[in-house]
Order: sequence, then C-alpha cells, then structure tokens
Amino acid sequence: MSFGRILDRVERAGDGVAALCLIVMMITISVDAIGRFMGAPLQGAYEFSELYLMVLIAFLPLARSLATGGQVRMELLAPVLERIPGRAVHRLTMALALGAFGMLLWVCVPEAAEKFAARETSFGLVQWPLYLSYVWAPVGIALLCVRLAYEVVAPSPAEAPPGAGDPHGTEAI
Amino acid sequence: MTAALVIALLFGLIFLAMPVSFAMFVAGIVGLWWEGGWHVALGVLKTSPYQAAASYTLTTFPMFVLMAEVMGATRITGDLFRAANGWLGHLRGGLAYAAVFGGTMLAAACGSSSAAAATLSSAIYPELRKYGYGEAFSTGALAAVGTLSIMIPPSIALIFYGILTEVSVGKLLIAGVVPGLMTALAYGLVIWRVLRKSDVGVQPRQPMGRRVRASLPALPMIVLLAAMLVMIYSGIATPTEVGALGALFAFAIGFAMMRMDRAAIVGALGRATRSSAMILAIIAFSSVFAVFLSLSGTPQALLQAVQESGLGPLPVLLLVIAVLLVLGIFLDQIAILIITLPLVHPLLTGLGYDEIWLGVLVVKTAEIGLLTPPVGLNLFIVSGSSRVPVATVARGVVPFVAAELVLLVLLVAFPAIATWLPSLSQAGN
Repeated sequence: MSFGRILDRVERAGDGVAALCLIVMMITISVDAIGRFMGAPLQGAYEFSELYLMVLIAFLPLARSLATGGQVRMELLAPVLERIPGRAVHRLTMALALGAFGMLLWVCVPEAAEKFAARETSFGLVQWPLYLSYVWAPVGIALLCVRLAYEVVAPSPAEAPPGAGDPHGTEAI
Repeated sequence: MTAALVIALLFGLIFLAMPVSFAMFVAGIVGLWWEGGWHVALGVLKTSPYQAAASYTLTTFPMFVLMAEVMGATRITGDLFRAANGWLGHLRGGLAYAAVFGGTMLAAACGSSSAAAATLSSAIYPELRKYGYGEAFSTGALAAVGTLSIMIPPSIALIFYGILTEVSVGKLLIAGVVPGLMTALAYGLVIWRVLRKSDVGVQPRQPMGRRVRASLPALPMIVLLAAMLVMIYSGIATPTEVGALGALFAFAIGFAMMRMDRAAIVGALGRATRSSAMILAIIAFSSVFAVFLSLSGTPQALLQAVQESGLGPLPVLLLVIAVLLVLGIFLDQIAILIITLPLVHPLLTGLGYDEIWLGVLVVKTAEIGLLTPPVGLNLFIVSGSSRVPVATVARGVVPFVAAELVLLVLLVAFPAIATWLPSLSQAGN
C-alpha cells in the first residue's frame, strides 16, 4: 500500500473518532440539560465536553480537512497561481505552514509529556486527568504535519473552481 | 509599523491561497517573534491553540452544525416547501412566495445559508421553471432566499461573531429574528414587484383538507424549531444545550419518519465533522494572531488615531461597512469576520456602538457578500445545482441585493430593529 493511502486511512480514522465525539457530546449535553430541568444534572458534563470532546473534535480532523479542501481559503487567484509549474505556490505555502505547525508540535509534545509524567489532574469535586486531554492536540498536529510534508513532496491535484462541487469555507454559514 | 507589516504578510499569504487559519497562524508567529522574540512566540504557542479549542463555549458550534446537518438529512426542505405551497401556491407568484416562506422556516432549522441554497435550489427550481418563471429570476430568488439562514437563528455566523467578541450568543441569536424576518418580507416585496405584470403560471387553489395534509409532514420540525426559539428567548437553556437538544430531537424525528438510513447518518456526521473542524481550526489558530494584535496594542492605537482624526462615530461606522462590503466582493465571509473583527469590534464599541447591533450589521454585510460576484457563494451553489450560468444567477439576484442594501441602511438608521427583541429577552442573563 502506498504512503498516500496509509495517510488517507489514518486521517479517515481521525475523522471517524471526531464524528463519534460529536454524537457523544450531543448526548452528554442533552442528558445534562434534561437532568437540570429535573433537578439532577449530569456531574462533569461540562468538563468532559470541554477537556476531551472539544479537543478531539478540533484537532483530530485537521489533516483530513486540509487534504479534502475543507479549510477556508481565498480562491480568487487560484486559477492564476495554478498556472505556475509544479504547483510551486501551493508547495511554498504548505512548507511555510509546515514550519509553523512544526514549531507548535515542538512545544506541544514536551508540554503533553510533562502533564503525562506528572499525571496532572484538574481541581474540584471530580478530578479529571488533564494529561489525557493534552495528548490529543500533539496527535492531531503531528498528523497535520505529515499531511503538510506530503503536500510539499507530492501535492494533491488542484481544486476545481467554486461551484464545481468543491468544498468552500463559507459552507458552514 | 510592525502590525502593518504583519497584516500585509497575512493578506499576502491569503492571496497565495493559503488556508486562512494557517495564514493567521503563520503571521501571528512572525508578529510575536518581532514584538517579543522567540521565547514570547513559543510561550504563546505552548498554550494558546489548545486553550482556544478546549472551551465549553465553543461547543455551541458543533452542536448547531450537527443539528443543521441532521435536519437537512431528514429532507425537511421538501416538506416545508410543500406545506407553504399548499397555502400560497394559488397566488400570482405563489411558488416564489412559497420558496421565501419555506426558506424562512428552513433558515430556522439550518444555520448554514449555503446548505439552504443548495437544498432549496434542487427542490424548488424545477417547479418554478415548470410554471414559467424566468431562469434569472428563479435562480436569483433561490440564491437570495438561501441567505436568510445567515441571520435567522440559529445563525452560525452570529454564533461565530459572539464567540470571537465574547458577546452573549443567546442575545445575538434573538437579535437576528426581526432583521431576518424583515429580509424575508423584503424578498416577498421584490417578488411582488418583479412579477406583478408577468404571466407566470398560477396553481389551482387547494381545498383546506389537502392544505392541512400537505403541512402535516413538516409539523414535527416546525414544533421543534418553535420550542428551540422559545428556549433561547426565555433563557431556560443555553444556546449549546438548545443545539444539542435540537440535534437529538431532529435525529428522533428523522428515525420516527423512517428517513435516517445509514447513508443519511454517515453523510450528516461527515459534513458536521468537517464544518466543525474548519471553524474550530480558525478559532484555535487565529488566537495566536489575536495575541499578537493585543500585544502590539494595535486596536488601541487604531481607536486613538480615529479619535484624534476628528472623524465622528458615524463616518467611521460607514467606512467600516463600506470596507466589509468591498471585502465581501472578493473574500470568503468567514475569512472577513475572523480577519476584521479583532480590529473592528474594539474600534466601534470604543466609539460607543452597541455590540449586539454591530453583530447584526456585520452579519448583514456577510449576507450581501454571499450574493455578490465574483465569490458570492450562493450564486455558485444555485448555478451548480440548477445548471444555469453564474452570470444569469447574478443578473437575477440584482433586485434582491438592492433590497438588502435598503435594509442595511434601515439597520444603520434604526438600531432598535436589532436591539429591541434582545432587550426583552432573558437570554444570556
């Protein structure tokens, strides 16, 4: 199996976990809200959603959202930029992003490792293991860095112009 | 000077088609390095993106996005249109009025205007053509009606504004009700004006029993939408809880109506994950740029410069609106919000303007941006699903954009249009 296909499968797995987290979040918050109306809210729903589900939903699908064009970008000059041979501009922007996210990974990994080694927990009635929250940001960013490196080496084909069925940032609004 | 150079770098990267969240991240790191050196930049990187994402406030996004996608998967658009058509179809232009009414109801179910435009276009365009409505008018009307979702709650754009500016999301959502309904009314007036002398086909008046029967499939969703609005307005549930409950009950209704098969669930979840990831990435990585702006004192410097220039608050507001409208011609709407709000919001609130009203104004300019070529997304979406050239859709949308501009002027002149209902509501209290 080629490296591109392995990467694609790992990215899909990240997406799948995030989708599952969406469902868990929906159920958790709904049960908490209904429980509150009945005088018995779900203890820890707030922290569970914030510390784990949100981090997983934000960071794990990053690489696949880049690979499938799901990140907001200005497409106005895209037809002109794509005329430059070898997708040079795309490679350049991906390399710049790789540098920036590489730096982020460089500071995130020791931070997560430190929390893990200290088995750091939150304060309060329920002591949530914070180290299990911090670990997902480096995982998602590492996957994104691999995707960015892959885009520099072997860029995916240029996207079609808006309206031709390609994704667009404003889809969400 | 540093800020100007870093903002120039940001725009340069955006023009090179780098994803906006990445461009803000790169420009933010450069700015932080310039202002305070590597230790400052690395210190911000260590905490900022994680803390921005690990936030309960942000759960509002994935929950409303999921709700919209689940409702879309239940094929609610066709139900709403058939219900509206049963009551309005016998009027001259009745199909178009039904599209506006159905679109308004759909907007209350789905916070995404592009999703609304796509489903409206595929469900209604063939009917409009069958009854002799012109190509440009039909597609223009559908593209415009699709934009109602950006203002009528649960508007993802208003939630986005609320999160970025730390304004009560509940109050913002309520603030969108009156301007959203006024926009729907204005679209109705445009349809009446354009079609008053046309010879479009009119459907026969349906008997009462048939109208009621046509409305029944849409009833569960209409009840759910009304309940959600009441919950937000009364403040008995937070917007996040309303989104989660809305998604849960939309799933339940979809299953009860036998419309949620495996493909529908997988499709809705996939789209919700993708949109959530996009929005959360923007917020997480633009936080680095926001720290840079704050550290460089740019918003304060801008406010001071404006105050010293002798310009009154109104010219500054009009200038900001003009800039937002011009940016909307060539930049993605979410990108405009994320780039401009860190500067525009402190500037205008510093000049004494109400932040809820500003939110509605900013989102109104985004609504117009969805309809203006060359990047007006709804033009492309309707063009894609109807197979009508974008130029024809753009021609058809002109009277609707004119109505939008009139409404924008009214919103500037009478802020109470946006602020009256939130002032009565318990949301956010």
